[in-house]
Amino acid sequence: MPYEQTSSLDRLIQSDEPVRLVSFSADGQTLAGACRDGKVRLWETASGKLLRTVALGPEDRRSITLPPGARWVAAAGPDKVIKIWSLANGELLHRLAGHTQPTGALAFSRDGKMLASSSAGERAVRLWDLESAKQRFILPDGFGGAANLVFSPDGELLVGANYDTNLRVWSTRTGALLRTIEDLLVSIFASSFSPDGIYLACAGVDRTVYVWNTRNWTVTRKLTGQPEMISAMTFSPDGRLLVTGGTDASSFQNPAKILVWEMGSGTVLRTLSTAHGVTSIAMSPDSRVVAFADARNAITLASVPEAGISKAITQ
Amino acid sequence: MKPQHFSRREILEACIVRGLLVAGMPMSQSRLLALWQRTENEANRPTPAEVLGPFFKKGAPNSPVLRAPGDPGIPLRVGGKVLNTHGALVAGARVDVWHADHHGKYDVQGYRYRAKLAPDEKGQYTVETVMPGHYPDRPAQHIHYLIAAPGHKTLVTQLYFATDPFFEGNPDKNYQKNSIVQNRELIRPVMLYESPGSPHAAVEFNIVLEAA
Repeated sequence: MPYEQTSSLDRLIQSDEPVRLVSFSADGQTLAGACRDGKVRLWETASGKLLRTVALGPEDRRSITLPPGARWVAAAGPDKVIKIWSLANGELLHRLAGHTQPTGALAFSRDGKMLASSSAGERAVRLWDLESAKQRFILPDGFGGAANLVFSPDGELLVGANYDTNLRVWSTRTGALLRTIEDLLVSIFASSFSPDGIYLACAGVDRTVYVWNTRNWTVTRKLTGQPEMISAMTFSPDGRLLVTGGTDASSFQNPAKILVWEMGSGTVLRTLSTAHGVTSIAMSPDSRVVAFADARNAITLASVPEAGISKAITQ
Repeated sequence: MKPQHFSRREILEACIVRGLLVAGMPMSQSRLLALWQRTENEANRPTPAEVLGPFFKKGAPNSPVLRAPGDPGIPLRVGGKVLNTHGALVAGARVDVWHADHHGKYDVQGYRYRAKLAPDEKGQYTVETVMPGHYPDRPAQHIHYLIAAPGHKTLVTQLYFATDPFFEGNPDKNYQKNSIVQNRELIRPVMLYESPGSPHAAVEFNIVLEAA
Protein backbone atom coordinates (compact mmCIF):
# COMPACT_ATOMS: atom_id res chain seq x y z
CA MET A 1 0.00 0.00 0.00
CA PRO A 2 1.36 3.44 -0.84
CA TYR A 3 1.60 5.64 2.23
CA GLU A 4 2.38 9.22 2.85
CA GLN A 5 5.28 9.65 5.22
CA THR A 6 6.63 12.81 6.70
CA SER A 7 10.11 12.56 8.04
CA SER A 8 12.54 14.91 9.69
CA LEU A 9 15.12 13.38 7.39
CA ASP A 10 13.51 15.04 4.37
CA ARG A 11 15.32 18.22 3.45
CA LEU A 12 14.72 20.93 0.92
CA ILE A 13 17.38 22.77 -1.05
CA GLN A 14 16.18 26.00 -2.59
CA SER A 15 18.10 26.82 -5.75
CA ASP A 16 18.36 30.31 -7.20
CA GLU A 17 17.35 28.92 -10.57
CA PRO A 18 15.15 26.05 -11.78
CA VAL A 19 17.04 22.75 -11.69
CA ARG A 20 16.85 20.51 -14.73
CA LEU A 21 19.11 17.65 -13.62
CA VAL A 22 20.40 16.35 -10.31
CA SER A 23 23.19 13.92 -9.51
CA PHE A 24 25.13 12.79 -6.44
CA SER A 25 28.92 12.65 -6.30
CA ALA A 26 30.43 9.17 -5.96
CA ASP A 27 30.93 9.65 -2.19
CA GLY A 28 27.40 11.00 -1.81
CA GLN A 29 28.61 14.12 -0.04
CA THR A 30 27.84 16.53 -2.85
CA LEU A 31 24.67 17.03 -4.82
CA ALA A 32 25.04 18.65 -8.22
CA GLY A 33 22.22 20.45 -9.99
CA ALA A 34 22.31 21.60 -13.61
CA CYS A 35 20.23 24.75 -13.69
CA ARG A 36 18.32 26.60 -16.36
CA ASP A 37 20.73 29.54 -16.23
CA GLY A 38 23.54 27.38 -17.65
CA LYS A 39 25.27 26.83 -14.33
CA VAL A 40 25.89 23.69 -12.31
CA ARG A 41 25.44 24.29 -8.60
CA LEU A 42 27.10 21.98 -6.10
CA TRP A 43 25.57 21.66 -2.64
CA GLU A 44 26.80 19.84 0.43
CA THR A 45 24.33 16.98 0.86
CA ALA A 46 24.40 17.01 4.66
CA SER A 47 23.80 20.72 5.16
CA GLY A 48 22.28 21.89 1.86
CA LYS A 49 24.95 24.58 1.78
CA LEU A 50 25.95 25.86 -1.68
CA LEU A 51 29.63 24.93 -2.13
CA ARG A 52 30.48 26.01 -5.65
CA THR A 53 29.06 26.98 -9.00
CA VAL A 54 30.45 25.84 -12.35
CA ALA A 55 29.48 28.00 -15.32
CA LEU A 56 28.91 26.36 -18.70
CA GLY A 57 29.15 28.24 -21.99
CA PRO A 58 26.78 31.22 -22.05
CA GLU A 59 24.44 29.58 -24.55
CA ASP A 60 24.97 25.91 -23.70
CA ARG A 61 21.53 25.29 -22.30
CA ARG A 62 19.61 23.54 -25.00
CA SER A 63 20.82 20.04 -24.31
CA ILE A 64 22.61 18.89 -21.20
CA THR A 65 23.47 15.76 -19.24
CA LEU A 66 24.76 15.28 -15.73
CA PRO A 67 25.69 11.62 -15.13
CA PRO A 68 25.64 9.69 -11.83
CA GLY A 69 28.84 10.45 -9.91
CA ALA A 70 28.66 14.09 -11.03
CA ARG A 71 32.24 14.15 -12.27
CA TRP A 72 31.40 15.76 -15.58
CA VAL A 73 28.70 17.70 -17.31
CA ALA A 74 28.10 17.87 -21.07
CA ALA A 75 26.08 20.54 -22.82
CA ALA A 76 25.51 22.06 -26.24
CA GLY A 77 23.82 25.19 -27.52
CA PRO A 78 23.11 26.97 -30.81
CA ASP A 79 26.67 26.32 -32.06
CA LYS A 80 25.87 22.56 -31.98
CA VAL A 81 29.28 21.83 -30.43
CA ILE A 82 29.07 19.53 -27.40
CA LYS A 83 31.37 20.63 -24.59
CA ILE A 84 32.35 18.55 -21.59
CA TRP A 85 33.48 20.17 -18.37
CA SER A 86 35.03 18.68 -15.26
CA LEU A 87 32.92 19.46 -12.21
CA ALA A 88 36.00 19.07 -10.00
CA ASN A 89 37.61 22.24 -11.32
CA GLY A 90 35.33 23.65 -14.03
CA GLU A 91 37.90 22.87 -16.73
CA LEU A 92 36.66 22.44 -20.31
CA LEU A 93 37.81 18.90 -21.21
CA HIS A 94 36.40 18.29 -24.69
CA ARG A 95 34.73 20.04 -27.60
CA LEU A 96 32.88 17.65 -29.88
CA ALA A 97 32.06 19.23 -33.24
CA GLY A 98 30.10 17.49 -35.98
CA HIS A 99 26.40 18.05 -35.48
CA THR A 100 24.84 20.07 -38.27
CA GLN A 101 21.44 20.49 -36.57
CA PRO A 102 20.54 21.35 -32.98
CA THR A 103 21.15 18.60 -30.43
CA GLY A 104 18.67 17.16 -27.96
CA ALA A 105 19.23 14.29 -25.54
CA LEU A 106 22.79 13.54 -24.38
CA ALA A 107 24.11 10.65 -22.28
CA PHE A 108 27.42 9.47 -20.85
CA SER A 109 28.39 5.83 -20.57
CA ARG A 110 28.90 4.76 -16.96
CA ASP A 111 32.72 4.74 -17.25
CA GLY A 112 32.67 8.18 -18.83
CA LYS A 113 34.45 6.97 -21.97
CA MET A 114 31.56 7.46 -24.38
CA LEU A 115 28.95 10.09 -25.02
CA ALA A 116 25.82 9.77 -27.15
CA SER A 117 24.04 12.78 -28.61
CA SER A 118 20.72 13.00 -30.43
CA SER A 119 19.59 15.44 -33.06
CA ALA A 120 15.95 15.47 -34.16
CA GLY A 121 16.83 17.53 -37.25
CA GLU A 122 19.48 15.02 -38.31
CA ARG A 123 17.23 12.10 -37.40
CA ALA A 124 20.31 10.48 -35.95
CA VAL A 125 22.25 9.77 -32.79
CA ARG A 126 26.01 10.29 -32.74
CA LEU A 127 28.29 8.17 -30.61
CA TRP A 128 31.54 9.79 -29.45
CA ASP A 129 34.68 8.22 -28.03
CA LEU A 130 35.87 10.57 -25.28
CA GLU A 131 39.36 9.10 -25.01
CA SER A 132 40.13 10.20 -28.54
CA ALA A 133 37.43 12.93 -28.62
CA LYS A 134 36.34 11.50 -31.97
CA GLN A 135 32.98 10.57 -33.38
CA ARG A 136 32.62 6.82 -33.74
CA PHE A 137 29.26 6.35 -35.38
CA ILE A 138 26.27 8.18 -36.77
CA LEU A 139 23.30 5.99 -35.89
CA PRO A 140 20.15 6.60 -37.97
CA ASP A 141 17.18 7.26 -35.66
CA GLY A 142 13.45 7.92 -35.97
CA PHE A 143 11.69 11.12 -37.03
CA GLY A 144 11.08 12.59 -33.58
CA GLY A 145 14.51 12.88 -31.99
CA ALA A 146 15.48 10.96 -28.86
CA ALA A 147 13.58 11.90 -25.72
CA ASN A 148 16.32 10.14 -23.78
CA LEU A 149 19.39 8.00 -24.31
CA VAL A 150 20.89 5.48 -21.90
CA PHE A 151 23.91 3.18 -21.99
CA SER A 152 23.85 -0.29 -20.45
CA PRO A 153 26.09 -0.45 -17.34
CA ASP A 154 28.79 -2.39 -19.25
CA GLY A 155 28.67 0.15 -22.07
CA GLU A 156 27.87 -2.46 -24.71
CA LEU A 157 24.40 -1.16 -25.56
CA LEU A 158 22.94 2.24 -26.25
CA VAL A 159 19.16 2.57 -25.99
CA GLY A 160 17.32 5.53 -27.46
CA ALA A 161 13.66 6.31 -26.77
CA ASN A 162 12.49 8.37 -29.71
CA TYR A 163 9.49 10.67 -29.69
CA ASP A 164 8.24 8.53 -32.59
CA THR A 165 7.42 6.12 -29.69
CA ASN A 166 9.94 3.46 -30.77
CA LEU A 167 12.88 2.22 -28.72
CA ARG A 168 16.10 1.46 -30.54
CA VAL A 169 18.96 -0.63 -29.23
CA TRP A 170 22.40 -0.16 -30.78
CA SER A 171 25.71 -1.93 -30.29
CA THR A 172 28.30 0.62 -29.18
CA ARG A 173 31.04 -1.60 -30.61
CA THR A 174 29.75 -1.91 -34.16
CA GLY A 175 27.13 0.82 -34.39
CA ALA A 176 24.65 -1.83 -35.55
CA LEU A 177 20.98 -1.35 -34.81
CA LEU A 178 20.30 -4.52 -32.84
CA ARG A 179 16.60 -4.05 -32.23
CA THR A 180 13.71 -1.67 -32.76
CA ILE A 181 10.89 -2.03 -30.27
CA GLU A 182 7.71 -0.70 -31.87
CA ASP A 183 5.16 -1.97 -29.35
CA LEU A 184 4.63 1.29 -27.50
CA LEU A 185 1.97 3.75 -28.67
CA VAL A 186 3.18 6.85 -26.83
CA SER A 187 6.51 8.43 -25.93
CA ILE A 188 8.97 7.25 -23.29
CA PHE A 189 10.51 10.12 -21.30
CA ALA A 190 12.80 8.24 -18.91
CA SER A 191 14.88 5.05 -19.05
CA SER A 192 17.11 3.38 -16.49
CA PHE A 193 19.11 0.13 -16.46
CA SER A 194 19.24 -2.03 -13.35
CA PRO A 195 22.82 -2.00 -12.03
CA ASP A 196 23.38 -5.60 -13.22
CA GLY A 197 22.31 -4.54 -16.73
CA ILE A 198 19.67 -7.26 -16.98
CA TYR A 199 16.63 -5.02 -16.73
CA LEU A 200 15.73 -1.84 -18.55
CA ALA A 201 12.91 0.25 -17.13
CA CYS A 202 11.19 2.74 -19.45
CA ALA A 203 8.29 5.05 -18.70
CA GLY A 204 6.57 8.11 -20.09
CA VAL A 205 3.26 9.46 -21.31
CA ASP A 206 1.08 6.47 -20.37
CA ARG A 207 2.18 6.53 -16.68
CA THR A 208 3.31 2.91 -16.84
CA VAL A 209 6.79 1.57 -16.13
CA TYR A 210 7.73 -1.14 -18.62
CA VAL A 211 10.52 -3.40 -17.39
CA TRP A 212 12.30 -5.30 -20.12
CA ASN A 213 14.55 -8.29 -19.63
CA THR A 214 17.39 -7.30 -21.95
CA ARG A 215 18.44 -10.92 -22.50
CA ASN A 216 15.38 -11.62 -24.61
CA TRP A 217 13.77 -8.15 -24.80
CA THR A 218 10.46 -9.23 -23.36
CA VAL A 219 8.49 -7.09 -20.93
CA THR A 220 8.74 -8.89 -17.59
CA ARG A 221 6.76 -6.40 -15.55
CA LYS A 222 4.51 -3.37 -15.84
CA LEU A 223 4.21 -1.04 -12.87
CA THR A 224 1.10 1.13 -12.77
CA GLY A 225 0.09 3.64 -10.13
CA GLN A 226 1.87 6.87 -11.00
CA PRO A 227 -0.95 9.43 -11.33
CA GLU A 228 0.84 11.59 -13.94
CA MET A 229 3.06 11.10 -16.96
CA ILE A 230 6.41 9.76 -15.79
CA SER A 231 9.02 12.42 -16.49
CA ALA A 232 12.00 11.09 -14.50
CA MET A 233 13.08 7.72 -13.18
CA THR A 234 16.10 5.93 -11.75
CA PHE A 235 17.07 2.57 -10.32
CA SER A 236 18.79 2.68 -6.94
CA PRO A 237 22.49 1.74 -7.11
CA ASP A 238 21.72 -1.47 -5.16
CA GLY A 239 19.01 -2.43 -7.66
CA ARG A 240 16.40 -2.82 -4.94
CA LEU A 241 14.38 0.27 -5.74
CA LEU A 242 13.05 2.19 -8.69
CA VAL A 243 12.00 5.79 -8.19
CA THR A 244 9.56 7.46 -10.59
CA GLY A 245 8.52 11.10 -10.74
CA GLY A 246 5.58 12.63 -12.58
CA THR A 247 4.58 15.69 -14.54
CA ASP A 248 0.96 16.61 -15.18
CA ALA A 249 0.17 16.32 -18.89
CA SER A 250 -1.39 19.78 -19.05
CA SER A 251 1.38 21.67 -17.27
CA PHE A 252 4.66 21.11 -15.49
CA GLN A 253 3.48 23.78 -13.07
CA ASN A 254 0.86 21.44 -11.58
CA PRO A 255 1.56 19.22 -8.54
CA ALA A 256 2.91 15.70 -9.00
CA LYS A 257 3.98 12.59 -7.10
CA ILE A 258 7.22 10.68 -6.61
CA LEU A 259 6.87 6.95 -6.07
CA VAL A 260 9.54 4.70 -4.53
CA TRP A 261 8.97 1.17 -5.82
CA GLU A 262 10.47 -1.96 -4.36
CA MET A 263 11.34 -4.04 -7.39
CA GLY A 264 11.25 -7.38 -5.57
CA SER A 265 7.60 -7.03 -4.62
CA GLY A 266 6.48 -4.46 -7.20
CA THR A 267 4.94 -2.40 -4.40
CA VAL A 268 5.24 1.29 -3.59
CA LEU A 269 7.22 1.84 -0.39
CA ARG A 270 6.84 5.57 -0.24
CA THR A 271 4.88 8.32 -2.00
CA LEU A 272 6.13 11.89 -1.96
CA SER A 273 4.46 15.02 -3.24
CA THR A 274 5.85 18.00 -5.07
CA ALA A 275 4.26 21.30 -6.05
CA HIS A 276 5.48 21.10 -9.67
CA GLY A 277 6.45 18.49 -12.23
CA VAL A 278 9.58 16.41 -11.57
CA THR A 279 12.49 17.22 -13.87
CA SER A 280 15.10 14.79 -12.52
CA ILE A 281 15.68 12.10 -9.90
CA ALA A 282 18.96 10.81 -8.46
CA MET A 283 19.78 8.32 -5.73
CA SER A 284 22.66 8.52 -3.30
CA PRO A 285 25.41 5.90 -3.81
CA ASP A 286 24.28 4.07 -0.64
CA SER A 287 20.72 3.88 -2.04
CA ARG A 288 19.37 5.54 1.12
CA VAL A 289 18.46 9.02 -0.11
CA VAL A 290 16.47 10.08 -3.14
CA ALA A 291 16.92 13.57 -4.53
CA PHE A 292 14.44 15.07 -6.94
CA ALA A 293 14.17 18.43 -8.62
CA ASP A 294 10.89 20.05 -9.61
CA ALA A 295 10.15 22.47 -12.39
CA ARG A 296 10.55 25.45 -10.07
CA ASN A 297 13.61 25.86 -7.87
CA ALA A 298 13.28 23.13 -5.26
CA ILE A 299 15.34 20.01 -4.72
CA THR A 300 14.00 17.59 -2.12
CA LEU A 301 16.22 15.05 -0.37
CA ALA A 302 14.10 12.27 1.07
CA SER A 303 15.04 9.16 2.97
CA VAL A 304 14.12 5.81 1.58
CA PRO A 305 12.44 3.23 3.83
CA GLU A 306 14.65 0.46 5.13
CA ALA A 307 14.12 -2.81 3.41
CA GLY A 308 11.66 -5.07 5.18
CA ILE A 309 12.95 -7.85 3.05
CA SER A 310 15.90 -6.68 1.03
CA LYS A 311 16.18 -8.47 -2.26
CA ALA A 312 17.47 -7.72 -5.67
CA ILE A 313 15.11 -7.47 -8.61
CA THR A 314 13.56 -10.78 -9.50
CA GLN A 315 11.02 -11.88 -12.01
CA MET B 1 14.39 5.62 -80.33
CA LYS B 2 15.41 5.89 -76.73
CA PRO B 3 13.71 8.86 -75.05
CA GLN B 4 16.10 11.61 -74.10
CA HIS B 5 15.91 13.07 -70.58
CA PHE B 6 16.76 16.70 -70.06
CA SER B 7 17.49 18.29 -66.74
CA ARG B 8 15.35 21.24 -65.68
CA ARG B 9 18.37 23.45 -66.22
CA GLU B 10 18.86 22.19 -69.79
CA ILE B 11 15.21 22.83 -70.60
CA LEU B 12 15.41 26.36 -69.20
CA GLU B 13 18.61 27.03 -71.16
CA ALA B 14 16.86 25.88 -74.34
CA CYS B 15 13.92 28.17 -73.50
CA ILE B 16 16.25 31.14 -73.12
CA VAL B 17 18.10 30.36 -76.38
CA ARG B 18 14.79 30.11 -78.27
CA GLY B 19 13.38 33.26 -76.75
CA LEU B 20 10.69 31.37 -74.79
CA LEU B 21 11.93 32.74 -71.51
CA VAL B 22 12.92 36.39 -71.78
CA ALA B 23 14.05 38.91 -69.23
CA GLY B 24 11.73 41.85 -68.61
CA MET B 25 14.71 44.02 -67.76
CA PRO B 26 18.36 43.98 -68.82
CA MET B 27 20.18 41.01 -67.29
CA SER B 28 22.63 38.31 -68.36
CA GLN B 29 21.41 34.88 -69.45
CA SER B 30 23.03 33.23 -66.43
CA ARG B 31 21.30 35.69 -64.09
CA LEU B 32 17.99 35.11 -65.81
CA LEU B 33 18.44 31.36 -65.43
CA ALA B 34 19.41 31.60 -61.76
CA LEU B 35 16.54 33.97 -60.97
CA TRP B 36 13.99 31.76 -62.70
CA GLN B 37 15.22 28.62 -60.97
CA ARG B 38 15.15 30.26 -57.57
CA THR B 39 11.63 31.58 -58.09
CA GLU B 40 10.44 28.23 -59.36
CA ASN B 41 11.95 26.38 -56.42
CA GLU B 42 10.44 28.74 -53.90
CA ALA B 43 7.00 28.29 -55.42
CA ASN B 44 7.06 24.62 -54.43
CA ARG B 45 9.34 24.81 -51.47
CA PRO B 46 8.99 21.89 -49.09
CA THR B 47 6.83 22.65 -46.06
CA PRO B 48 9.16 23.54 -43.18
CA ALA B 49 9.65 20.99 -40.44
CA GLU B 50 8.83 21.57 -36.78
CA VAL B 51 9.38 19.41 -33.73
CA LEU B 52 7.27 16.31 -33.19
CA GLY B 53 6.60 17.11 -29.53
CA PRO B 54 5.94 14.60 -26.78
CA PHE B 55 2.31 13.70 -27.53
CA PHE B 56 2.37 11.77 -30.79
CA LYS B 57 0.41 8.54 -30.50
CA LYS B 58 0.53 5.66 -32.94
CA GLY B 59 -2.56 4.00 -34.34
CA ALA B 60 -5.01 6.89 -34.74
CA PRO B 61 -8.17 6.05 -36.76
CA ASN B 62 -8.66 7.09 -40.38
CA SER B 63 -11.63 9.27 -39.50
CA PRO B 64 -11.83 12.89 -40.63
CA VAL B 65 -14.46 13.93 -38.07
CA LEU B 66 -12.75 14.66 -34.76
CA ARG B 67 -15.43 16.97 -33.44
CA ALA B 68 -18.26 15.45 -31.45
CA PRO B 69 -21.62 17.20 -31.02
CA GLY B 70 -21.42 19.65 -28.13
CA ASP B 71 -17.62 19.80 -28.00
CA PRO B 72 -16.50 23.20 -26.72
CA GLY B 73 -14.48 25.38 -29.07
CA ILE B 74 -14.88 27.03 -32.46
CA PRO B 75 -15.71 24.42 -35.12
CA LEU B 76 -12.77 24.22 -37.50
CA ARG B 77 -12.20 22.61 -40.87
CA VAL B 78 -8.62 22.12 -41.98
CA GLY B 79 -7.80 20.76 -45.38
CA GLY B 80 -5.36 20.77 -48.21
CA LYS B 81 -3.42 18.70 -50.67
CA VAL B 82 -0.25 16.71 -50.32
CA LEU B 83 2.09 17.75 -53.16
CA ASN B 84 5.66 17.19 -54.24
CA THR B 85 8.16 19.95 -55.00
CA HIS B 86 7.07 19.92 -58.67
CA GLY B 87 3.51 20.71 -57.65
CA ALA B 88 2.17 17.24 -58.46
CA LEU B 89 -0.08 15.26 -56.13
CA VAL B 90 1.68 12.69 -54.00
CA ALA B 91 0.15 9.23 -54.10
CA GLY B 92 -0.22 7.02 -51.07
CA ALA B 93 0.34 9.73 -48.45
CA ARG B 94 -0.79 9.26 -44.85
CA VAL B 95 -1.42 12.34 -42.74
CA ASP B 96 -1.34 12.02 -38.96
CA VAL B 97 -2.88 15.02 -37.20
CA TRP B 98 -3.25 15.57 -33.47
CA HIS B 99 -3.95 18.54 -31.25
CA ALA B 100 -5.10 19.63 -27.81
CA ASP B 101 -8.79 20.12 -27.09
CA HIS B 102 -10.44 23.50 -26.44
CA HIS B 103 -9.04 23.46 -22.88
CA GLY B 104 -5.49 22.76 -24.03
CA LYS B 105 -5.43 19.07 -23.08
CA TYR B 106 -4.19 16.22 -25.21
CA ASP B 107 -5.98 12.92 -25.00
CA VAL B 108 -3.16 10.50 -24.23
CA GLN B 109 -5.44 7.67 -23.07
CA GLY B 110 -7.55 7.49 -26.22
CA TYR B 111 -7.65 9.12 -29.66
CA ARG B 112 -9.76 12.27 -29.22
CA TYR B 113 -8.57 14.91 -31.71
CA ARG B 114 -6.27 12.44 -33.39
CA ALA B 115 -6.51 10.98 -36.88
CA LYS B 116 -4.41 9.26 -39.48
CA LEU B 117 -5.90 10.32 -42.78
CA ALA B 118 -5.61 8.90 -46.26
CA PRO B 119 -6.08 11.75 -48.79
CA ASP B 120 -8.71 11.13 -51.49
CA GLU B 121 -8.01 10.52 -55.19
CA LYS B 122 -7.60 14.27 -55.69
CA GLY B 123 -4.90 14.31 -53.04
CA GLN B 124 -7.18 16.21 -50.69
CA TYR B 125 -7.32 15.65 -46.95
CA THR B 126 -9.91 17.26 -44.70
CA VAL B 127 -10.39 17.18 -40.98
CA GLU B 128 -13.43 18.49 -39.09
CA THR B 129 -12.39 19.49 -35.60
CA VAL B 130 -12.36 22.42 -33.17
CA MET B 131 -9.83 25.21 -32.78
CA PRO B 132 -7.13 23.85 -30.43
CA GLY B 133 -6.87 25.43 -27.00
CA HIS B 134 -3.88 27.04 -25.35
CA TYR B 135 -1.83 25.33 -22.69
CA PRO B 136 0.66 27.03 -20.41
CA ASP B 137 3.76 25.12 -21.49
CA ARG B 138 3.31 26.07 -25.14
CA PRO B 139 1.01 29.03 -25.48
CA ALA B 140 0.34 29.12 -29.25
CA GLN B 141 -2.57 27.15 -30.72
CA HIS B 142 -1.30 24.47 -33.07
CA ILE B 143 -2.08 21.23 -34.85
CA HIS B 144 0.67 18.63 -35.16
CA TYR B 145 1.27 16.90 -38.48
CA LEU B 146 3.20 13.81 -39.48
CA ILE B 147 3.07 13.11 -43.20
CA ALA B 148 4.57 10.00 -44.77
CA ALA B 149 4.43 8.92 -48.41
CA PRO B 150 6.32 6.35 -50.47
CA GLY B 151 9.40 7.86 -52.12
CA HIS B 152 9.29 10.98 -49.95
CA LYS B 153 10.93 12.17 -46.78
CA THR B 154 8.63 11.87 -43.78
CA LEU B 155 7.67 15.37 -42.70
CA VAL B 156 6.99 16.42 -39.11
CA THR B 157 5.47 19.87 -38.83
CA GLN B 158 2.83 22.04 -37.15
CA LEU B 159 0.08 24.38 -38.28
CA TYR B 160 -0.55 27.67 -36.46
CA PHE B 161 -3.36 30.20 -36.72
CA ALA B 162 -2.93 33.86 -37.60
CA THR B 163 -5.94 34.71 -35.40
CA ASP B 164 -4.23 33.31 -32.29
CA PRO B 165 -4.10 35.99 -29.55
CA PHE B 166 -0.50 34.86 -29.05
CA PHE B 167 0.46 36.71 -32.26
CA GLU B 168 -1.32 39.88 -31.11
CA GLY B 169 -2.83 40.48 -34.53
CA ASN B 170 0.59 40.71 -36.17
CA PRO B 171 2.17 37.32 -36.90
CA ASP B 172 4.84 38.92 -39.11
CA LYS B 173 6.14 40.82 -36.13
CA ASN B 174 5.41 38.40 -33.32
CA TYR B 175 5.88 34.92 -34.72
CA GLN B 176 9.27 34.42 -33.07
CA LYS B 177 8.02 35.46 -29.64
CA ASN B 178 9.28 33.04 -26.96
CA SER B 179 10.89 30.91 -29.73
CA ILE B 180 7.59 29.05 -30.08
CA VAL B 181 7.25 29.14 -33.88
CA GLN B 182 10.22 28.66 -36.18
CA ASN B 183 8.64 29.48 -39.54
CA ARG B 184 6.28 32.32 -40.39
CA GLU B 185 4.74 30.39 -43.27
CA LEU B 186 3.30 27.79 -40.88
CA ILE B 187 0.98 30.48 -39.48
CA ARG B 188 -2.07 30.43 -41.74
CA PRO B 189 -4.96 32.85 -42.23
CA VAL B 190 -8.35 31.75 -40.93
CA MET B 191 -11.56 32.07 -42.94
CA LEU B 192 -14.93 32.19 -41.25
CA TYR B 193 -17.93 30.54 -42.95
CA GLU B 194 -21.51 30.61 -41.97
CA SER B 195 -22.90 27.19 -42.60
CA PRO B 196 -26.52 26.39 -41.72
CA GLY B 197 -26.92 26.69 -38.00
CA SER B 198 -23.46 27.75 -36.96
CA PRO B 199 -20.35 29.48 -38.18
CA HIS B 200 -17.13 27.58 -38.54
CA ALA B 201 -13.53 28.51 -39.18
CA ALA B 202 -11.56 27.04 -42.06
CA VAL B 203 -7.86 26.89 -42.81
CA GLU B 204 -6.14 25.67 -45.95
CA PHE B 205 -2.86 23.90 -45.37
CA ASN B 206 -1.22 22.32 -48.39
CA ILE B 207 1.78 20.16 -47.65
CA VAL B 208 4.82 19.94 -49.93
CA LEU B 209 7.00 16.86 -49.45
CA GLU B 210 10.59 16.44 -50.58
CA ALA B 211 11.61 13.38 -52.54
CA ALA B 212 13.49 10.84 -50.46
